[in-house]
Amino acid sequence: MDIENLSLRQLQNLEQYIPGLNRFPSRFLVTDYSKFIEILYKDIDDIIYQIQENPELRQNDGEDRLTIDIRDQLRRLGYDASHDSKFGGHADLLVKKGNFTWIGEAKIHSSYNYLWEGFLQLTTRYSTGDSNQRDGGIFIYIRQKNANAIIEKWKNHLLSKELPDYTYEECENRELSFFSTHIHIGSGRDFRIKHMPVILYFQPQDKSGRSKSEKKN
Amino acid sequence: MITIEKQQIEEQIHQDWLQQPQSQICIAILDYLVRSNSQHLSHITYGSLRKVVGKAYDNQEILAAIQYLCGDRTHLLEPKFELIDNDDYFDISDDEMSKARETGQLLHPETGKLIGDFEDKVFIYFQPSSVVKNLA
Repeated sequence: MDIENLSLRQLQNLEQYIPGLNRFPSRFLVTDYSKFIEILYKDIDDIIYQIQENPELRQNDGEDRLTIDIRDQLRRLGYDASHDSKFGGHADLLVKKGNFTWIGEAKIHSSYNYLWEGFLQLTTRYSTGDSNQRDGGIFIYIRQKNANAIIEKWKNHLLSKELPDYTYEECENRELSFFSTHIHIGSGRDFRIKHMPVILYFQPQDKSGRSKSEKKN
Repeated sequence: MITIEKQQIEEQIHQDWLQQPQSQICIAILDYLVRSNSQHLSHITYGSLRKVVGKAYDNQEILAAIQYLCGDRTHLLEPKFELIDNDDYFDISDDEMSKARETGQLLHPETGKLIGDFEDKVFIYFQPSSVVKNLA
């Protein structure tokens, strides 16, 4: 296709080849905090889907490696994204647009107490909960089977913590993710967290997969 | 006024795209922006950027690079929007464009009438950003 002048429609049509391309003008135009978060979450969902396509390549990746991959993909979309930035500590993922700041904490799931540590880091160490950063996210890298069951247990674990004014809601765009909201201890205002599982389970049960696993044992 | 070294941006581009074609595409566009007089670059079309980078790259690779160069990470290019209606050109402000993308409706800047299928009639062009103007 030889394009001289690029219309919005052509961008839409090319979206199938470059995920997120149709959001490119909105990503640039956004001046509203809520819209910034909304677009960021759609972009992150696309990146997660991409990462999940090759779990076999991710089996030895640590939290940092996985999160740096997300950072790199965000940067290629044009985001001012960084890893390990000094921000009340060393935040796993920091995305800035002007004064707007979004912080993500990342954990490879091993126990619910470990995820809870991540939740506490995000909410009591890194974020202020002020108007320019009233959202944050937790990436939950899951190598075990049944991510859905793990997320359901994590929801119940959070409920048991009796956080002030705690509520949760489903994510409309991705059923496995959910949002929690509670009163941020620092700002005293609502703080909303998107909990984002990343499915990295890889134990194929076909003949080839079985023989590899038998050899290992 | 904050000035940034060109070399610093080049390093950032290589760091972000590694061996991918977008590294070369972004560097070619950066060189083009730096060597051209910014005042003469008030209307950079997608086609003109295609010419700058040469025929070795496909639309997907070039668009991914342009998307990156418009973002906050480097912010070398400033996207602009124009309505082309029966060979007449009308600039669409960022605010108007935001509203149109939010509501799915764009009003004609002169007549005030609703434009059907505005996505077919609104085109993106680019200008060098303030970062380019302040490059050391």
